[in-house]
Amino acid sequence: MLISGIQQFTLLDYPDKTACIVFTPGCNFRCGFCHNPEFVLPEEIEQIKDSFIPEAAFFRFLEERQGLLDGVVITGGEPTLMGDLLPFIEKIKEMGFLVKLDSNGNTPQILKKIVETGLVDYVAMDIKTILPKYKELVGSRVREAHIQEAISFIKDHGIDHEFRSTIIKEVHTPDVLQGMAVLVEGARRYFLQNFRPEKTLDPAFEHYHGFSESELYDIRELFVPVVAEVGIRS
Amino acid sequence: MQTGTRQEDLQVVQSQRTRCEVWTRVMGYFRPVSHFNVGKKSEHYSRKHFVECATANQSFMAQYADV
Ligand code: SF4
Repeated sequence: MLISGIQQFTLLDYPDKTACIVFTPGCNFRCGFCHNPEFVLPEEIEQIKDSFIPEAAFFRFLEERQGLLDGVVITGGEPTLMGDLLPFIEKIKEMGFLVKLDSNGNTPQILKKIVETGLVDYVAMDIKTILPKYKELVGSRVREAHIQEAISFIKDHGIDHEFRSTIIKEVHTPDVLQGMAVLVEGARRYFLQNFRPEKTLDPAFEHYHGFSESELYDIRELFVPVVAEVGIRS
Repeated sequence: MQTGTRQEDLQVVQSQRTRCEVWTRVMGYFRPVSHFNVGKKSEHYSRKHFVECATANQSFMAQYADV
């Protein structure tokens, strides 16, 4: 599997667990607000591709972390685009780690296949906006029906999961937020992530704004009635 | 929001480009590069910039590559 980056330690990305993060290159979306354009845009991936980390080195690192870290977070880019994701996860599980998989939900067939093996312990899916506005925000590769399918699958499957949204004042108007609450209704966890106007894929987004703390708490109230646990990451 | 390819975007903004002052330091304080003397300018242009991600990966590999 292609590994474009590794973060050796995190307390934030896997709820209640210690973990490391594996980043994979390439994404089927082009979210203007994306903070990892170096793992998304082909011309930027090109610049770092000679520094990709071989699987063998990652597993050597992981051996050293046995008994120290609880889990591994696999994120990107979009990790479900990696053809050998499943064998990669198998190897991590054999070493006794938990696995959290992040996805934008555009490839539900792959997501289902992987989750149904039982090898993934936690799934996190982004809810970018309401379905009719996806294309405008993430580009033409999105299939709204796929997003809906992924959401329903994750909610119904019973796997431990979260949905999360990066929210931007100019994009996530009250109407949109209402609609998003409908999308995630019945989920186990939902996290609001405040947008920070730094290093965005589309430079235009550097002029957009996040929400104030009190606004975030107000927005949270929209989701509290429909999701078991609603958190704010800002 | 509809954006074209990056190449197209660049061509559109070409007409709107204005002079950009770069500030950095060679001595102990920040100055516009345009005010540097010749020697300091040459030092500035010979600087090698690092790519954060690639550098982080290299240091990871220094530790975990096959020995
Ligand atoms: S935010 Fe996620 S889905 Fe969107 S472009 Fe970046 S990596 Fe892809």
